[in-house]
Amino acid sequence: MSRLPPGVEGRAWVAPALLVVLALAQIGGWLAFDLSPWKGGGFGMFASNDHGAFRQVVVFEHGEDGTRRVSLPSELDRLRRHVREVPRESNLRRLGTAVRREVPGLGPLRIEVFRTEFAPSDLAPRRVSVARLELP
Amino acid sequence: MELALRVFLLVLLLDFPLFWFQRIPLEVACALGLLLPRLVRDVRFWAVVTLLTAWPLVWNWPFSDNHDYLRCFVALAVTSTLGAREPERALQVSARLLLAGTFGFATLWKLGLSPDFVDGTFFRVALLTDGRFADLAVLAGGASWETLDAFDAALRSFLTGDSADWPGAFVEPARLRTLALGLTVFTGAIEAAIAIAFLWPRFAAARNPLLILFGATTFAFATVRGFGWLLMTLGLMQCEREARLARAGYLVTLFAIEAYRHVPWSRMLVDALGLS
Repeated sequence: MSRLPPGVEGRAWVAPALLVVLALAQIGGWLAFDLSPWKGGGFGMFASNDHGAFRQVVVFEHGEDGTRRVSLPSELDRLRRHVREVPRESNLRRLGTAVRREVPGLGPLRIEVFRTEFAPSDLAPRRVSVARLELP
Repeated sequence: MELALRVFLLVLLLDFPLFWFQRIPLEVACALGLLLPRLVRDVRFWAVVTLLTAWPLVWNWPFSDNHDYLRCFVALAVTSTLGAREPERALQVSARLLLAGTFGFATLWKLGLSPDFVDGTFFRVALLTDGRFADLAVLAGGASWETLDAFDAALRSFLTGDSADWPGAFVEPARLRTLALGLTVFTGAIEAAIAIAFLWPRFAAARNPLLILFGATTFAFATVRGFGWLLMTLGLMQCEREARLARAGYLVTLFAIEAYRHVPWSRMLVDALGLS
């Protein structure tokens, strides 16, 4: 790389520095709250099977007859996908509140986000819980 | 530099954000930039373009893809270097560092943070489930369409159902495993090599051949047009003026990436070999 006149180097570093800051923040998000490796500007695409297609957001209702799965209304699809990519507790809580609003009369809820792991031996998938929230 | 900036405007014009209210202002700006050549050197114009590529990242959070971020970084690189004493030199440095960062973090994810990439599981699953790799799985992995359909149906049933059961009868073709291993080694090695070449001046001679090789091979199957175009545009931006062959290589690869997307060459090969 050739030596540059004073002042030029700083300008040349602006965009790359932002790239590094955002990519490190994305890795931080992945470590802290399982942000999807494919999202957030960290360049983790095509590196892992942990992506939206293999993640699930499931809402369970605890009733007297046991636990049942609540089917989410299509109006909540964007929020569901948001929770899937960024399964922070605050997002799970937001989804729970929205589900209660859209589907009145629900009892205590459990919201859980799963990713899928594939066994290296035979590719058998299994669900791994990445986030979970109980709402009384 | 002029050529690289015009190519970038063309890329922005053709690979736009998802929503119309994000797309149209950017398309208008890029069209103006292409029609009025004096704008291409105007830092205020590029500041507007940078804003038009940045705000969708906030609006669409967290759904933007990595190349949406890269698009914004490239626009910012142009904006921040145009006012330099030697803008062409500053943009070259910025583009090189962006390429080093992009491939550096891609390598970190693949080789450092994702155990399922290193052990080959990622590509084994991708070959079976990602439609973009289906022709490759059939052509070079020894998979039949029935194998792909069976795995896909079983996985879909697993993902949408409550049951944790998995039909254990799936038999993975041996060649598919070998292909996945080859892709894992190739991808990890070339991305790491590109990151190193763009970071260390000692390996400068390898930069253009490696990046062009990556563009010409990877995007033949992983048809992420926008990402491929941006990488080739960055390649063009960081090229020395006298590196005419490399500049031509980037342009040809950029158009090849578009051709890969529209010409069903791998399906034609599948049909020609009687594998359909």
